Amino acid sequence: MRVYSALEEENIRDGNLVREWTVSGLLDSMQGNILRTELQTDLRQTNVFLRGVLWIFTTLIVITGVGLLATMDLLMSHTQGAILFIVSGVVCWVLAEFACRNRLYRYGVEESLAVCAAVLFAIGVSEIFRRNGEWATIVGLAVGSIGGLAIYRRFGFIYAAVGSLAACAAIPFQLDIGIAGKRIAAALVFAAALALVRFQRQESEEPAGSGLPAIEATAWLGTYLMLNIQLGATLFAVPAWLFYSPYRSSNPEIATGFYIFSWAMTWLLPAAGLWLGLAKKDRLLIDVSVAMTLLTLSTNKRYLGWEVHAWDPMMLGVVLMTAAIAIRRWLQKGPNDERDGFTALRLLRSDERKLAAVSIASSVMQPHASTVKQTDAPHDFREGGGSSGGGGASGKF
Amino acid sequence: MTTLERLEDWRKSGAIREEEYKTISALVRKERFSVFLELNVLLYLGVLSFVAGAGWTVRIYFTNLGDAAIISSLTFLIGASFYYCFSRVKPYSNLQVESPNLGFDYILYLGCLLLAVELGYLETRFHLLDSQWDYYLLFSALAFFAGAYRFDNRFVLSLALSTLAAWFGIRTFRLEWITVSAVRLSAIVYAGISFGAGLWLHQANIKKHFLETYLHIATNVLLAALVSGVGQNTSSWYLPASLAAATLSFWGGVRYRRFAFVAYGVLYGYIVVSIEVLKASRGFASVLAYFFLSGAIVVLGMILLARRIGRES
Repeated sequence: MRVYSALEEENIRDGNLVREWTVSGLLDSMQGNILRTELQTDLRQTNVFLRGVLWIFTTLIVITGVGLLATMDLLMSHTQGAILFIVSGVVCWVLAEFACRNRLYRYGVEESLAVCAAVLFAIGVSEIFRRNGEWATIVGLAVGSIGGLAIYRRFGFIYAAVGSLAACAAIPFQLDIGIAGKRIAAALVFAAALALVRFQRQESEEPAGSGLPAIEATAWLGTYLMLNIQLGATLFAVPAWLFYSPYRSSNPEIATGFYIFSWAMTWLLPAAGLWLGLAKKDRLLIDVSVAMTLLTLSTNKRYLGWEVHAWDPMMLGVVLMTAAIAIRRWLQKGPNDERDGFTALRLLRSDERKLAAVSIASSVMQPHASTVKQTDAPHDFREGGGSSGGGGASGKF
Repeated sequence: MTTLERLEDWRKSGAIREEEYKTISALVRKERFSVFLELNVLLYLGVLSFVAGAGWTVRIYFTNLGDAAIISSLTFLIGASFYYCFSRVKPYSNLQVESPNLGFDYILYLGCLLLAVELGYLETRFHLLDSQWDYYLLFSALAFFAGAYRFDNRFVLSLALSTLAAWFGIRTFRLEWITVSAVRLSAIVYAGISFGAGLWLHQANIKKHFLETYLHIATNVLLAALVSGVGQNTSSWYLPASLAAATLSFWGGVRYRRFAFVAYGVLYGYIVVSIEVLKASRGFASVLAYFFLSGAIVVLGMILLARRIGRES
């Protein structure tokens, strides 16, 4: 079923590990070279930046190619348009297969072609149902979801599986079942995927390149995001009428029972995820659970109808810093600077590279754009620059 | 075959030594599991959240709390942060210096951000520099640069570079050249200074590992400024200058195997060429044809490049 053999996937996985161990000083460079030669495949790979550029430009070619064909007959009917999209999708899939047969592996080109194939096919099928009104979007999402799953099964692109889940979870939002019903149905989609992946991981050894931990972590996060109904108001200032307060209901569609259930889940899901993640030392699940915990802490006051204060982020900051330092100290006090295998020490160089990338990215997130719009001396204090690492002195004066 | 089985084979064949096998297999089995990155991210988010909250609180409650309370609290926190850092810092070295502990870098970062909050507050309330208030930014940037080099902190270096960028932007307005092209010129000057400073310090063997931070920021600022100049059609020299800068970024990226710069060169260069070509294009179909053909050329070129230089990163 997979376009790449299990041995190729294993060689690539272990080749990447050998490279990491070598740059981290766990193997010397001569050993690294010998082992990597042993693990070499005939697959053509490239680095992440060239892969990204190839992805973008291949997508551009596909979109403009389909656009060019469409402009040849501007009076195209729905059916003709649908056929164009479906045929283009099929052609893209064939080209993606061809690229993989030519031994491209995570090269950007074949990835873009496969994704475009699923999207074009979904749009084409959706166009066929356009005359039936409301079904067009539902069918489009369902076909897109199946397409994403097919890409994952055939090519092993983990983000296609994630996209498939997201498309499937979007289907309930097209149905007339009330806000609570939509959220519960979408959460059930993610929960079903979560159960399936967990079962699969427990039953057998994870095949190389399967990305099951990433899919499981996405399913946890998806379930959480569907159930936390205060998130939109907290993070994106979505209009309040979309949400419900147990004290002053602005949306009677969401029953109090669901509101309490969702509040409970915002605590239970991160706790369960963290517990399972720590027990299995599953990094992605631990990271996602920590992220869910932060979101819960950020939305809890709104859930309970408590007043939100300006100093709440300060309190959260103190909690986060204290927790990090306390965990580090606790781990350091254990034998060999570790407890149950957990350590605060850096073991691999990749951690340092990731931190360096975060530090460079932190310079981009500065609010200086608003500063340069000001042309006069400051009159009113409008600090805000510190929120993303930029000098508060340069905030909005 | 699992990674552990492979390691076992390598151990038996003598490709890896017994002690290497033990260390690596412990990592693969997750008997040793580092949460270094997670703790760093928690500290970083904690600092950002704290400073955002401090700024918000000061803004909302400065009339209730009073100047003395705000200034003394901020000064205390800044003083405590810097005292902590100076009391624990290792001796200065031009080479990379490991932080004495996990929280050290973030306490310095917190102190720097709070310093910026306090300076902003002081000027807003007391107008100490009045019309020359933007010099606070220059002062902050210099202080941050000093902190970044003394304590070997990349977060503070990024903060210094972005604060300096803000000063350049504001300085332009203070001189009342309130035009977009003036900001563009100031961005180009800023990029040139950052680029030059980064390269000079690298040549002088001073914190060589900081070079990439300078180059990433300077390259993006320079290319964005030049490309916007081409888009605005303000001067004829923007086109050759932007193409030259994109080519240089591309060449440097290939030469030194820093592929992010290859991507910058390709993307910005493509935008510049597209702006020029599309100015002369007629009709939607010709625009689509241009993107189709040019995209194909870029893909072919990138495939050839990728085949030549493989998957190094």
